[in-house]
Amino acid sequence: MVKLQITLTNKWGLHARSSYALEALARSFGAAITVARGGARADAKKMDELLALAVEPGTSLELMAVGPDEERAAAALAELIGSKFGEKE
Amino acid sequence: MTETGSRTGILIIAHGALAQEMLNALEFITGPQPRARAIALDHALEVDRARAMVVEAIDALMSPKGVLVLTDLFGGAPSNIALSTLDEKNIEIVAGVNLPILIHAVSQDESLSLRAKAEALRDYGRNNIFRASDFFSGKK
Repeated sequence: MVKLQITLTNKWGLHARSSYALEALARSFGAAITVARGGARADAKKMDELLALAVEPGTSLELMAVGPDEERAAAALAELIGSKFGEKE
Repeated sequence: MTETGSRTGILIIAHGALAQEMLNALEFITGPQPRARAIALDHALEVDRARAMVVEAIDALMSPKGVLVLTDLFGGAPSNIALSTLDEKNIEIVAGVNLPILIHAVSQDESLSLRAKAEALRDYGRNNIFRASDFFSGKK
């Protein structure tokens, strides 16, 4: 299992577009990927669960990936979040 | 029957400008959706013309995977026009479309049958309607 802590720094947090982008990227990996905010957890391959976390900008999230490609999956998702989902400021 | 290849087509039919605006919102979130189309129906349109528009759009979107027709209101004109095509096409109709349904529609597993996709969309749409305060108080 790979576990990463990452802070959302984009302008709108985990909103519709960023959740969709995260889901689409997560689905490209075989690993099971979980995003946790405090006690709440979401399957990163399910946009509705990501939206239900109601993540605001500045929130710290925990990424957990389990599976053969867990390293690549966690790194790719962390990169997407770190890039602010490509959103303009 | 070619623009969508072997992927399921998605046709949104709704009153007034709603269908196009829902498609606009979908593409704002997910990016371009070349296998999705929107049709606006209103009472200024003759029924025969409306039905011809729907049939034409279904034909354009048709592939071996079929077409999901998403309408705004069961029993409304858009839904009734869609229902009139049900017996002659490889289509499924889901009435009561909302944005969660649309987003889910473009990310569904293409290996599912058309019927299974329609049933999943119905359930997904229902399950993504919340009274927000219930959600945050843990009642969801």
